[in-house]
Amino acid sequence: MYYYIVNPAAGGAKINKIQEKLIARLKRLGIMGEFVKSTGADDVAKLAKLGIERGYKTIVAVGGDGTINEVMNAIIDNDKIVLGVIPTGTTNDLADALGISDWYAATGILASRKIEQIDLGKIANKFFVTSVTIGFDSKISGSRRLSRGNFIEKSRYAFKVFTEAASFKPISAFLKFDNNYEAEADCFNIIISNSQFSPAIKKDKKLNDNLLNTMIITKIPGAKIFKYSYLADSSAIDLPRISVFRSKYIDITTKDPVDVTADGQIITKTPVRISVTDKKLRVIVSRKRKIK
Amino acid sequence: MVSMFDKGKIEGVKTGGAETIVGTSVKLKGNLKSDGDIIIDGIVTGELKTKGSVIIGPNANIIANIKAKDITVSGSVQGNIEATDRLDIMETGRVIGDISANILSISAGALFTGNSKMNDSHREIIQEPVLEEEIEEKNEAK
Repeated sequence: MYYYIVNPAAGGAKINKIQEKLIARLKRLGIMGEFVKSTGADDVAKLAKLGIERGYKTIVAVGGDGTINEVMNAIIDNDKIVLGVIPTGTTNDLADALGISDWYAATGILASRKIEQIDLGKIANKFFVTSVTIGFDSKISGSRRLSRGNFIEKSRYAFKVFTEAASFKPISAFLKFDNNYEAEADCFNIIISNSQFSPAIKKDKKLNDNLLNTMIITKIPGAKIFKYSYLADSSAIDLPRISVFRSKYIDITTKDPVDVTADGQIITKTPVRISVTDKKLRVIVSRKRKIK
Repeated sequence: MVSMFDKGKIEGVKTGGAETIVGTSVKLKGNLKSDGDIIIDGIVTGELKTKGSVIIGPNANIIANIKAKDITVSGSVQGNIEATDRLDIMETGRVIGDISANILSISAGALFTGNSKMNDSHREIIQEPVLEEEIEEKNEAK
């Protein structure tokens, strides 16, 4: 039996629109289980632990990257638990990386139950699955949920991106990789990911290669920030403005402390160390997604 | 998480699949070792070593020894360069240091100050085939 933890607020309350269809589909596939809904930020972890106490071996996060992050941090010490994902969030990068395109595909993937192990990153004593960001993306992360809302919410998001872009000053950062080499730059964004979340990173990078990929974007002209952040058009970035490095850990310091976002949530401020860990997450993936 | 990573929206940036990229206005210091390809368009001091290729862009300014399979220099390098296969110094390239390669190409307009060494260990010495008639002729001549 599966234990489904639903974040009802994820993706602009997307679950409300799909709930009936989702349950019907799960019943048809014979993987219906217990459904619990979170009521707040800390509630997801509590529900996950409750599921383990009740003896469930498969816990499914129904939400976005933030929900998955909380479930994962709650179950990671129990190596018998398998994580499943039904993407309904504002950002679903992990689902994408696992080959799960949408909630409907996710149900079929859960039923076929192909289990893989993936690397976990660690920052400020918390684990993360997808990525850590510092810079402009952290500034607007709190408003990202609006980008998938109705016309008014989208307009508010556009206004937020526009005003932040107008006032954003590049972050003077110092990055040290594996204690071997150091990079110094004024950064628009720093993105540390556990997989190929970027076109700048070679396509065969795996979720279990025990390395983190760091991408630094040094500068985007003010007029192009909107194109990049709101229209999701990466052609706004000039190639020479991108740097990419691979390492087991990175120490990042900035001139002034700035917010650090992991799996879409602000969790600490700089200075930080970000590393891969020995812990592996057991997760159900698409049969088309090969993790070697 | 940044929205540029949304599916289908990533074609705008192409890097040729390099494993490490040092972009313009990034200063890198230390020993960079890699198994993959490296692209440099920023400032690097220290040492660069890879089993793959190194492409040094026109904006790059490097004070480092470099060892790689294939190396292309379009920027400025102060240091020794060792290409286990091919070294190309392009017309905008500036190299101050000793270089060694199996295959060497220096374009018109490039600047190179230092010693160069061509490794010929990889070149097979191919002897002309000797025909049986020629052996017989030689024997008859004796």
